Amino acid sequence: MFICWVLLAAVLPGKSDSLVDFDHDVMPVLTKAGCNVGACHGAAIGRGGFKLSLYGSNPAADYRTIALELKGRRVNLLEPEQSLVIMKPTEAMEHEGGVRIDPGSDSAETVIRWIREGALRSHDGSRPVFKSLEISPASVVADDFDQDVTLKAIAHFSDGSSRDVTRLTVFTPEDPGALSIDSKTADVHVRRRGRHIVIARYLRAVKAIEIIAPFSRQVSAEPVDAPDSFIDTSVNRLLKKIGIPASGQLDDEAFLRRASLDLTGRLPDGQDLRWFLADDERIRRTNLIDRLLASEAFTEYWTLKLAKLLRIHGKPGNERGAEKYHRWLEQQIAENAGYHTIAMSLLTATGDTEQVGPANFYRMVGGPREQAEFTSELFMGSRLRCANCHDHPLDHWTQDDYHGLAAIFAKVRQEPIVRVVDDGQVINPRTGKNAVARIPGERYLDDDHGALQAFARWMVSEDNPYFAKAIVNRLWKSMMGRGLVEPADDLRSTNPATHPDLLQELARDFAEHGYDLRHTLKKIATSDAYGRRSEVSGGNATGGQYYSRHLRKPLEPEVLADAISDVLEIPEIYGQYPAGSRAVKLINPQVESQTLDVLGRCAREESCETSVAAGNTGGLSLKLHLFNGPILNQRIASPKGRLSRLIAAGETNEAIVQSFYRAALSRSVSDDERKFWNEQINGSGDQRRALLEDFVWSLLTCQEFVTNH
Amino acid sequence: MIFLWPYRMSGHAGEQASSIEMNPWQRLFRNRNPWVYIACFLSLLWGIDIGSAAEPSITALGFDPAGKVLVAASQSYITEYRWPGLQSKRRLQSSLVSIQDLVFSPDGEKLAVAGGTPAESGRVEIRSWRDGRLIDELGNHDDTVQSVAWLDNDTVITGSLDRRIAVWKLGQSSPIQQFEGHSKGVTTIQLIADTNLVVSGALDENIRVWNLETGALVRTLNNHTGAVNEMKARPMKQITSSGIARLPMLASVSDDRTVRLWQPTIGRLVRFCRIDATPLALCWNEGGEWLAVGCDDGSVQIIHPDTMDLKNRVMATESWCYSIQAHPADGSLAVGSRKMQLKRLDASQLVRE
Repeated sequence: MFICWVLLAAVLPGKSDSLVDFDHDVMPVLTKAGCNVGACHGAAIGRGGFKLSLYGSNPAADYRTIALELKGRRVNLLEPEQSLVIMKPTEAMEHEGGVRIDPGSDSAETVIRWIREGALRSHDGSRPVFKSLEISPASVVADDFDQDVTLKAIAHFSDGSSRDVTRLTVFTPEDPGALSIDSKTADVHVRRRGRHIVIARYLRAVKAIEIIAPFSRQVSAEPVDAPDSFIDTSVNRLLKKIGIPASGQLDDEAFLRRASLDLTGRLPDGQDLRWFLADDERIRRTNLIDRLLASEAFTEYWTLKLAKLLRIHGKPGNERGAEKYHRWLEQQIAENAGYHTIAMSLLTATGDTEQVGPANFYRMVGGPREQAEFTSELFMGSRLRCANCHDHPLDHWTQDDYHGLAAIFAKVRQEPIVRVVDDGQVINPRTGKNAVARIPGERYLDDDHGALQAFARWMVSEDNPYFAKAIVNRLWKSMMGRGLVEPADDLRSTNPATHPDLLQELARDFAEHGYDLRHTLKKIATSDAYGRRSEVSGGNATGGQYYSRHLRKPLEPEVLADAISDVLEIPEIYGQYPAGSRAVKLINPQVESQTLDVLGRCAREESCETSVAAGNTGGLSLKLHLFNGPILNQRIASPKGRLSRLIAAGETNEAIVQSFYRAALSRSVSDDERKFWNEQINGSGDQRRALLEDFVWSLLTCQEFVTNH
Repeated sequence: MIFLWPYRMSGHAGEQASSIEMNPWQRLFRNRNPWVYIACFLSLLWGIDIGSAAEPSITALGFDPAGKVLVAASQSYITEYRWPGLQSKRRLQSSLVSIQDLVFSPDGEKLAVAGGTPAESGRVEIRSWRDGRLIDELGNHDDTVQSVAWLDNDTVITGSLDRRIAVWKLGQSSPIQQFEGHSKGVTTIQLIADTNLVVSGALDENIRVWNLETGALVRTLNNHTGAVNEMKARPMKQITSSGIARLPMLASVSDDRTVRLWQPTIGRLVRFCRIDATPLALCWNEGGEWLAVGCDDGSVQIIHPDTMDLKNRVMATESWCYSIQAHPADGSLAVGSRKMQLKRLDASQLVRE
């Protein structure tokens, strides 16, 4: 009997307990080997006549390509080792991509075994389906800088089984300079201190792993618990965890300038300063925030900010519609309408765009696909656009999600009279058929006609995990200089927030308070994190993204233009608008204005969101224009401006310097500065005027003026 | 005892077998290894499940001119079957790693076996059909020859995935004519009877018409929006009963899920239809009254060429139909597909009145 078994084993193609599965075994091998990355066969047109789905997002298509196309030429069922699909990556045959799979390795054996077993793909439901990926540890603090961290990946399947897939999981550091990862053992070596992210990919699952190498063992003296502010609790905890000290609180005058610019887009004037300083010191800042939030200037400025987000612009022939839209938005801000109410109005409004302001929402971009991209970026903070051509490589969005959302908007006629129709369709390129209306990541919608209403209801519901987070992240970025997630329109699990708990809490608090923009802005503005100085302190130069200090923010083009006008007391002219019009109040973002062009305004035909690096105050062109162009030079010398008025009034040099410091920097001149300027401005007559003009020019081109800090 | 016979035949009781599948054990028996027989016996005795082995696809089919024999290619093997019973007669082993096409010479004496080693070389074996002897080997292609056609009993033309088309004279090592112009691999070539034209289809989505004598490109037909998988010229009388001269007609199938009819001599797309699966192979019946299209869902779709209406849809197999051939006389079809499935479809199954 024993001999018989030996004979069997020797001559028969034995069946192992587990057949190699194409989806779960072969695909990860190809992904791990990098075969299906965008630079190789995962490119839109493939490479060398061989096209795979990007990161293996479409196993069915890849199976066709590998096993079936061209009469199955890529697999040799009689001699599996001679198959193209294994000879190329092992470079047994010339391969432009070099050796991707080591001959004789487990990976090579997996592919060969799969071919030997018939190069089949199970799609009849008989095999367990991959459900989720678990990475351990999901977050780790490497106490010892030289300490290696070993990651482990476990895949969970539909039958309840689990499997260690560490060997098949691709681990990629977000910053290769900060971490090195052994692709075979998944050992992570930290090369640089800080907070780093590793992206793990197995099949369609991608996960982010946080690895922290503290900067210092000397924990910040900052108190961790801040019972009155979940913001400070979260920020301080991370600072402590990462070992970065916090800068101290800024003085009241600087706080006034910062808050005024952030909430109203204006420099504070003398009256503001007097009111502020007259207040009880303990409640001075809170009262200031309340006053700013209640001001007309807040409505004007935040109408501009939301108008940029909504890309409100007047296409030729739709100027009146755009104006109606802008006025409607201004009214919503003035009345403190909930953000969910605003969103619902935008998504469901129909009618004559010259009469119904929010109906213009569908006139700002062209076509259902563009509308789907715009809407998902706006209200969900998600870049669905990648899923147009293939499933999103770094998120869970599928082509069905993208084209399903486009199918909803295909029913909306984006015409001067916006209306919902029955016959709009878009083709889903994956199926080649009409896309089925779908709430992204959620469910298909059976009722085509009611799909828009259903989508709008879901969008503003608390079941939507994106809506509140997307807007509070933008509010946070506007106030703090950097989003908890950057870029602000790219929320996804593989681009985690620096402070996930804070983002979650801000979103919860926002929803709990009626999606009130003012409420969340106040919450942020009254936190200690917001009130920190922007100067580096105690070695926290690298900790800006953790809010150890306040990040300098360049003034927006409209705000800077108004600030220059206010300081010089010379109004700017914008197209046909009356003289003295403020830039933040302009409805048409493309109105004729060389100043706004130079300062880099957004035409709003595309997204105005950019990742603003700390300290970035514009490019070389802007600098040159400020230094040499007419924006400053002509207006400084104007006989109607502040400088001429003060000279004519017989003010002393010191008084003039003080006046400009107050107006431009919202602070008094320091002793050193006073001494410096006294030495510099020492002429008389025309010479004195020229020196004073130089002084004003230097003030308006300095970093302290062109940034909010 | 099913394992002890290398082919499994299926069909209704009392009828001839209408299809065969390579048994998973077939490759083992092919080696005549006595241990295999012992092991089989033991496995039956103890009920051991030995699992399934790889089953190569049938990639090419061809009828001899008399219609008595069907030849089928599967990877490196050519198997001869009696028609219509599909009994295996003999088996030839080719030196080609992968056979892609089989075509008998006009006199029926020789068989051109086209293929090669994927991404490495492409050749055509010329074999005496009587004894299977290798007469000649032609081709220096850099990738497999996907399609071959006989110009006469001593001349063949080849289309390869290396993008080249070449004309070869038996006994000569170099091509006597070459056609280059496709930007991706050539998948199919067809001669247009009574003209000096040859037509090629390719992965670059184009169909090109060439002058055989000069090698010049006559025209490009670029209506397909996917790879062209196969083309077949329509067999029909050039002069109708009323004395009107007909232009040659050609059918093509593509990954764009269309079937298109062309008049290649004037470059006209006559008509087309869209179908619900990806068509991989096609053939005309002997009179050119209908064309059969083999698809990736295992179906064979019968299309009327004058209306492009779908006349019938037969599920021939559960896997991709790589090859389809119409019998030269009896109106039946042979279908070859993945998993080494070979099937006969009778005329009665194909066209419904």
